[in-house]
Amino acid sequence: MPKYTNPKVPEGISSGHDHPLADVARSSVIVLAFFTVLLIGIFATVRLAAPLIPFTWEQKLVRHAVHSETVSESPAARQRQHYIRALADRVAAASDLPPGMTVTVHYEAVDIRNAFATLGGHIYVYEGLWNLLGSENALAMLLAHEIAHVKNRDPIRSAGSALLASLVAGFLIGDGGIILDLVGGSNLLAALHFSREQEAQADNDAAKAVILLYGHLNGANELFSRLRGAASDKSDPPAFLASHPNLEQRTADLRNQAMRNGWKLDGPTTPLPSGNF
Amino acid sequence: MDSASIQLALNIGIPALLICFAYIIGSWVERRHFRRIIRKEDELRDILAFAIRRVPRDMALSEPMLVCGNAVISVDYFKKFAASLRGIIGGRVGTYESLYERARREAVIRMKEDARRQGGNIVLNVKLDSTRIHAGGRNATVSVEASAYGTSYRQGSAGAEIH
Repeated sequence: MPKYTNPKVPEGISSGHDHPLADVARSSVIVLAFFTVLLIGIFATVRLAAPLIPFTWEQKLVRHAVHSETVSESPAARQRQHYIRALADRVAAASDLPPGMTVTVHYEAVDIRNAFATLGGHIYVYEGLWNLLGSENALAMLLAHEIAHVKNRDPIRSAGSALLASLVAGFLIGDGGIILDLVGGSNLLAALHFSREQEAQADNDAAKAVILLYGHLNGANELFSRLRGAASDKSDPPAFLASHPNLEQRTADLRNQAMRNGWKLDGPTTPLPSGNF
Repeated sequence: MDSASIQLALNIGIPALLICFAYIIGSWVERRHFRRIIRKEDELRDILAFAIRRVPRDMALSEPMLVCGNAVISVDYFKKFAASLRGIIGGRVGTYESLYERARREAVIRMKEDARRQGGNIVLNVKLDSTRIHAGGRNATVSVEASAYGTSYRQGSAGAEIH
């Protein structure tokens, strides 16, 4: 007759192969890497696909978010806006905008040294930055730069990324309201950030438009040197520079571009209208 | 710190704290449970348990008795977190393996204790079942139940060679 036994079974057959913390660490790294790659993929797709959205849709999207008309209490501000819009029309004509694309410039009598382009072809210029500018040529360069962003569909690309980022943040924070705030308010409109490549492309396109208008790049030179001067004021650097860093690099790039194309860097400039303004 | 950062810190920080806490307590409880299981198994080694369905002809056995034992062990927050990561990438869910092993071995121990109480010293046709006890909603903690049952006999002197 066989001998029946229940021998002691060694431990660790069914479990305990791996330290739980090591297992969690390994799994976390894999999961994080997976989601990072996934997110990068989605962001890249959004940036590539966003310009496929028709410009008219983009305009409708922000119709309610953008102030339709600047609240210009003073006649001076109204006059300035009128003047800037007339100049912007000339710059836009030189900027080779695709059919159907229009820009609307808003002058805001607020002491912020900033200007930006946002969704729907809306461009904001603040009084603070206006005061920094010395000539029509510099203003034209600034407008040409912002118009180039609109032309290159940079705002919609960045808005797509920003929306996605807020969705991710909302998911992490577990609060959907934060997304609604961003979509509904003009928060998103002012908070768009463009990449270094987008800024370089906008400079490049702007220089072409300015050359078409004036035949020289003195306005660009002046704009950059005035911004550089203002940047040295460490206590209060212009807000414009927070979204447009690497001024030295950009000045150098502009010079190189001028050299390559045989463009003149110097030339006569037209002062900004003064008096009532 | 703005409110969004505070909310983010809370949303990530509280679960992280819970996971750390659950790991420390959970692994202490688990180590203690395994020590107890090993000790109990040694104590009950004289009660034999087999999965064979038929009584061997050469065994002289008393009247059959049904014996059973079960154990319910709860998943802790850390195990659940580790398993949810595994749920994304696949592979062995080590934290659940040890959980199930504890439940299974504890159930067999209790079955053997039942057999001893009823005067048996061998259990044949041992079967093991396991179920998941779902307590509430989607995110509720899950417990695992293992039950062991079989037919216990008192071996007579004729079967003295069975150890």
